[in-house]
Amino acid sequence: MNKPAPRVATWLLIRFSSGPHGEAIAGDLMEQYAAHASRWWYWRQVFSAIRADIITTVRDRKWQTALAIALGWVAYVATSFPTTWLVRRLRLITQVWLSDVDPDWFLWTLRAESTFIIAMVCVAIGWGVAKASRRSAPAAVCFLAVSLLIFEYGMIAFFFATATPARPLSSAELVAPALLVLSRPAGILFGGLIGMRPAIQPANVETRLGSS
Amino acid sequence: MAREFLGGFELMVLLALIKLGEDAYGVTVAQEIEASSGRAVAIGSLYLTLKRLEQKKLVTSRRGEPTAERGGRAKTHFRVTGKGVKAASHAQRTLMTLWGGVRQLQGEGA
Repeated sequence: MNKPAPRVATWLLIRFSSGPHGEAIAGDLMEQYAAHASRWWYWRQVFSAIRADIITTVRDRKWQTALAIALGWVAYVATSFPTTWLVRRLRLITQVWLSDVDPDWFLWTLRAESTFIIAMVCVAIGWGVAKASRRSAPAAVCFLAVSLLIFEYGMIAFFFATATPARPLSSAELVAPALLVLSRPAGILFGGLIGMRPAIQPANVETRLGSS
Repeated sequence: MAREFLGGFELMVLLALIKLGEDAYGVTVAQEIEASSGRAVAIGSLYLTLKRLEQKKLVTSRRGEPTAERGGRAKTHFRVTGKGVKAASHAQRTLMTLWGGVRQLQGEGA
């Protein structure tokens, strides 16, 4: 029986593949993995193939990709106001519910709540961008997630550089925003992965059964 | 029409395809280049180059049959076109001419 290739890596490769040779790449990697290669080799090849696919997409469909990224940013900015309003409304409700709990725990609950809501909005944006951009979806979703991460880290750096807190901040308070903000690009990537329509068709089931 | 220059890796891929003939597909091309150059070839980068060569009409591809050892995935076979053979031959002549003019490298290959 063939040595089965790492499932998550194969799933990622199939999801992110948009080019005409996606199926051949997946098959070539499986063939080489079954013959002699390690899991580490397989994962490295998968990431390399995804990177090459993104480069090809950006080169061949520049405007379509740029438009999809712009669409994602417009959606992000446009949803930020209703999301902030929703977060504030929920904060008021949570304040009533948790009025007699420890203040530290209460603050972390609010943070987790707003992080979750914004991450869900990002999932929806990633999904929408992937659906709208079709064949340039992998590149558009990846670039949108990276640009959002750079923007949000820039905002955090700007805040720490300009704000003068009333009391010295604890290390947890310094690190938490940098970690929590990762949920936004992660949400975009997750939503994008769900929304992408892979170019690779499902493998021939009879042929697969024949291997076992 | 202006003739396009081939990149180093493009030329390697083209030569491997000419050498392999009908058996040329991703795995065999990668193995051929690895054996000649001693360097590992990423399959993703190889297909990126193959797609570029196809766009330049130096290479054509056809889909093969799915096989069990490839998890039911089909191979894509590649073949060099007449234009591709001419491009490889032109690159060889250009390199030989340049090589001949470099005194520091004379006799190094011997």
